[in-house]
Amino acid sequence: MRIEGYFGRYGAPYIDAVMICEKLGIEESVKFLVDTGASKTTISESDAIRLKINYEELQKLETGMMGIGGVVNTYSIKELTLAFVTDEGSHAEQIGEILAIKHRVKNKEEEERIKLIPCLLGRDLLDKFALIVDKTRNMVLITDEEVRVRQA
Amino acid sequence: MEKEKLIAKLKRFESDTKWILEHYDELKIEYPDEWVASFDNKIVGHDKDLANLMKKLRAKYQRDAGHIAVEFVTPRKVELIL
Repeated sequence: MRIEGYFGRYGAPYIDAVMICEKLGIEESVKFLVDTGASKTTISESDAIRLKINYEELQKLETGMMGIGGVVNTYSIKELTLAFVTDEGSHAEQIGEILAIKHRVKNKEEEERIKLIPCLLGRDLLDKFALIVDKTRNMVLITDEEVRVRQA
Repeated sequence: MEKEKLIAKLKRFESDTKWILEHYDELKIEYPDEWVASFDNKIVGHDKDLANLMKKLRAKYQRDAGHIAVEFVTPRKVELIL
């Protein structure tokens, strides 16, 4: 089974999915930046607005999260499904928890920056697959197939 | 929702996302520092405020609003380092 992505804004690899969370009444398409540096799949503040996520309905996590985007408050979204288009039709991946972030400090310049921060497809999902990101072949792919690289 | 319909919506979302990217240079002149929404490869809304834009899209497209590609368009050059 292969899930194909594409190179999007900033030339970064993206994979789209439908995020389904019955508890929050969400069934919406989301664009995820493939980020092997992120331990958890994360919904950006802008996409939280787009998905009409009410932070008050979510459990706030005690530990904040530090990234290059700055310090943020993190909220837990539990029991959801990410549905992907595959070469065989579709694939649904159940996920126990992802994070929604909300930035703590905002001045005018930071507000602008926050608008550009994407959702992240983190290692909680990527670790279940092989990941291929090959700009020279215009290929972004996650797959459960065995990936072999010819040895030199 | 039926799986086939959901997948069709996701494919259209991806197509609309790519359409915004392909037309970014024109969009940043026409809608600087605005959120723009693309559906079926055309602009269906724009606003300085994302919540306002989504409110308008939800009123017009109901549940389909969640499958409309929305991007913030800025004329400034930005490098993304996560």
